[in-house]
Amino acid sequence: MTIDDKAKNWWVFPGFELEVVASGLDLPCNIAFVPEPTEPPGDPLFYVTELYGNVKVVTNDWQVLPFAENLLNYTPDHRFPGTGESGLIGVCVEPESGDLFVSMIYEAEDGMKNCVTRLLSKDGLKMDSQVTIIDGIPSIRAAHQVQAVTIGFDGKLYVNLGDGMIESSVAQDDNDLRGKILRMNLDGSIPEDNPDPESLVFAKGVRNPFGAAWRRSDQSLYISDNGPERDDRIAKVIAGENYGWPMTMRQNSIFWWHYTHAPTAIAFMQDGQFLDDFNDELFVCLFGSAHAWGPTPKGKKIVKMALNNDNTAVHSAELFLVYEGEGLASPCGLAFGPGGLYFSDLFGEQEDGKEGPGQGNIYRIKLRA
Amino acid sequence: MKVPDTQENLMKCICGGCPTHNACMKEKMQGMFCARDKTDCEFTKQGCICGECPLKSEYMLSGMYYCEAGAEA
Repeated sequence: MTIDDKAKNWWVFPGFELEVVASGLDLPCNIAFVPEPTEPPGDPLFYVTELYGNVKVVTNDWQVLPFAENLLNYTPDHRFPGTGESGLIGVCVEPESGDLFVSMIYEAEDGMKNCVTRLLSKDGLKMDSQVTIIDGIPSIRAAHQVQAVTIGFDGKLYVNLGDGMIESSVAQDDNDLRGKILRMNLDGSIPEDNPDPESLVFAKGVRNPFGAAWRRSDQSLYISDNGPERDDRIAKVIAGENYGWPMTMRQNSIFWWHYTHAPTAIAFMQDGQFLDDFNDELFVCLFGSAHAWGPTPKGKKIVKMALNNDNTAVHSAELFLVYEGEGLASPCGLAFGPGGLYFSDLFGEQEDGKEGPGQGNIYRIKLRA
Repeated sequence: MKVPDTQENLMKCICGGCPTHNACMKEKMQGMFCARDKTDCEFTKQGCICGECPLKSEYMLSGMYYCEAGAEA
């Protein structure tokens, strides 16, 4: 399948078009742009986590280079849905140093654990060393692990931590970090102005919060959170707030889907990539079932949402991108960058039903020329 | 709704990818617990992916951990 054919497998909102900017990726998960990219063609533009332990860097001239390899200390088993749905997921770029923060699971003597690691690099093209920021948090070889990592406007590191799947009540336990949004200094220490100055917990009661994005207009963090049989949601994260899981997925949510679509990464249009009509709108990847061929009613879409004036609810939601091909591709990672909205398709097309590694892509949605 | 124990449904079953599906269950080739009896293997709950199974939506199942509960009535 040619690059043009891949792009034709997606319906996109009128006035926009799609192009492939990077290919040959192995389960590309999340995308993080360099906050202020430099101009030389070979300099880094954005980073992509590959689920099974690699980070790729994509340069200004669209080279795809290995930044870090073999970060996982166990062998993933490629089972979707299930134990294959875990690994290296979150990524963000620290603006001052250009270092990356990534989230992943690892195998310890007493089971799987979550961790966040800082990947240091002198040139932004190759990891030189890594430093553990937090670790030892119980996890699972399945979804509900540590997810998005972001740096807020306050310079603190925010970490979405799933409930671990086994015992959902931990999301309400103030002494357990699972099922929480964590806030920390960049070295992993507790900020003095956290809701509890002796705890990393910033907010509690979340289930499987894959996505996170900061919104400039209200200086706030928003997340996507996956519900059980129903009630996936979007929430604005407020310090010290309780988001209700496992009693409910609707508490303090600004939007929920009754029929679940598995929201993954989210991004706000706030740097002029699209027309002014789209300014400050939230774009959400809906991944759908963990492993589904062809178009499906569940997920395999990107939707765009406009919030109300006081940011307490979504007052419009529309389809922006829909998968129409016959493959496994579905939107997973999402970020605005130069010239448009970029997303990863995790599995890629996997043509003719033959599954294999290294078929994932990064697309850019841009205004039609 | 009762889940028919058919080859077609077995092809849709995702029990083998579940973090709770342990070595004993694999050795005995056990799965599709929502259509069959519960497991006789000893196990510790390590999470449940029944909610992601196509059989769950197809047969409107409401439970979880069918490996412990056995077939839907």
